[in-house]
Amino acid sequence: MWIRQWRNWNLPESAVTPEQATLGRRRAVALAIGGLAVGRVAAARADTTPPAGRYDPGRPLTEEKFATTYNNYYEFSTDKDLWRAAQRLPQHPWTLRIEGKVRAPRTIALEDLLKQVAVEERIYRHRCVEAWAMTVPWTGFPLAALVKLADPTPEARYVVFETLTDAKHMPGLAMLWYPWPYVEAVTIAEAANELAFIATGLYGKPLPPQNGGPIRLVLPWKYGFKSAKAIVKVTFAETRPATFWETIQPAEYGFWANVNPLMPHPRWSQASERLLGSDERVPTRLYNGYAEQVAGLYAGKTAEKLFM
Amino acid sequence: MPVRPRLSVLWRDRAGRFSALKAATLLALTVPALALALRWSLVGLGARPLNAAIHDLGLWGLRLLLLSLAISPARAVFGWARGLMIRRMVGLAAASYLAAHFTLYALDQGFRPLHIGHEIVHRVYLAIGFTALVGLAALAATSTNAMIRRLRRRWKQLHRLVYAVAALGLLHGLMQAKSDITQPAILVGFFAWEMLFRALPARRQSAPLVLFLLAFVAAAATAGLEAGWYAAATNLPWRRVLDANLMPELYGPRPSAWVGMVALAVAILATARSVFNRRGRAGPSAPEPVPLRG
Repeated sequence: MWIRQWRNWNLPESAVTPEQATLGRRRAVALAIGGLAVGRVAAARADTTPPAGRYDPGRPLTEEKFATTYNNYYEFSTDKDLWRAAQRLPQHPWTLRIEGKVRAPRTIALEDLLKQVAVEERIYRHRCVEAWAMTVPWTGFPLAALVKLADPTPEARYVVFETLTDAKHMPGLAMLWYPWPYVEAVTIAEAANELAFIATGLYGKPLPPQNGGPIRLVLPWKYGFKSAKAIVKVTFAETRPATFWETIQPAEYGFWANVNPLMPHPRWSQASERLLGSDERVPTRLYNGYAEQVAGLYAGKTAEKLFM
Repeated sequence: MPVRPRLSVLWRDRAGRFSALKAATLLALTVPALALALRWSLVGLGARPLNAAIHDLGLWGLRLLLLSLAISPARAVFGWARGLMIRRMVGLAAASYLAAHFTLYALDQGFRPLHIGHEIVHRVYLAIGFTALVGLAALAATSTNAMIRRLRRRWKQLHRLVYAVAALGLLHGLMQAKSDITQPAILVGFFAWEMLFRALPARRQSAPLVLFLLAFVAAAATAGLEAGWYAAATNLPWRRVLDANLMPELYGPRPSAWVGMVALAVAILATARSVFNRRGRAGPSAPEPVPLRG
């Protein structure tokens, strides 16, 4: 087995990945998606300058088989090995309910929603609160586009996401002591951030059910549990809702859950993370390395527990 | 007289004869490790192989530790005196699995001693697990015939530490779980049975009625400890966890059911044995001779 001795002079992975190889791989992934929107992405990728490098993950992509077989999804099981059970979850038809502080509450079919947004691909690092991480190419659209479509009223301060509760296909729901449905939320300002993303695809394919298909939230600067899966309802609220993990263990999981290597979980360290599918452990970065894009959201919020 | 240690002690009895029981036990004890190694090398252990192996070895270490604590109850209930021949081997196997568990953890942390020390001191569940491991290492180191002879009475006192080691190990297992404690709760339930059994007066330990009662109490204790943990460590409604024990059709067998079923099987076998013995020879069965050391 390869044992990695970690030294402080070790350079980050990005320093050793040949740029040309990275671009080649991305182009291949992008082309695999097909379609008009993707043509744009591929064209942009062919360029050797940003925006391709705007969200450069600086790490190799996680192998698809690992990203799609190692999942936290308590609606199915508290084990990670739930991808088989999740295959039974019907993905079509799928509708999204939009309600709360919006000018016109409505129910919209997923395919109609996708016609009203510009689909793109983004390679993000994803950091779980359990100190593992992956780097995967999502397809979808900015959360800001969904907010715009929903047309919230000025009272809306939070965007609340609710996961499907389908007891017939989700055996984990039988554990009645969990506070179903899974609810997660962000502030309106966070929802407007350029990184906040709604994913409907992964590795150029429809988003697999175990990864939150057919539609999920992706907030790459927060711990993974913030990014709700299989979304059926988006509510615009005036007050902060009780979120799933915060309800279960308020001393361990909070509302903000921004990634911070210096703020350990009450039981374990968050200083480093294990990359899925590898024996590699890398240092964790503040806001999962996205401080440049998101740190401004939290300026002045000194009274809040931003990192749990 | 100095005796050169030979590997053959693993399958020979004290008289030097081949012991099928010891040989079979030795083979059985290597099965979980071999299965893990085979899975790892042939199909892999998934996205976080080290983590999966650490969990597997820790779980097997605890299972074997509890198995070693089940051997004297087995002697008391079934008169299985030969079990003592394998108790040390089972205990040492548990220590080996847990040593491997810790070694892989150290590997996972990049074998950086200072960093590992810092982690152990700062994470309560690691401090507890490490304390248990140090205790178990002391017990393993004093498990040679020479040490048993040298320590005499104090050996027995020292080796009572195994109960504290098991309790700390189980606590470590409970604490590392994110929120679902089903696996550790089952082990905690078996440990509760074993400890309650030891609290019984020796002459009552093989009485069928007592064992039926013990099965019920151990199952109830498992349910209580499980719900109590949820109440203490999480914000989950512990009443619902407790209620789930009574609704197997909805929730499947909960930890209390696993513990209760095994304990019930022990009580049923003890009943069968007592009926068989009574029919076989009139009058109560004489206790079989028990060797002092296995």
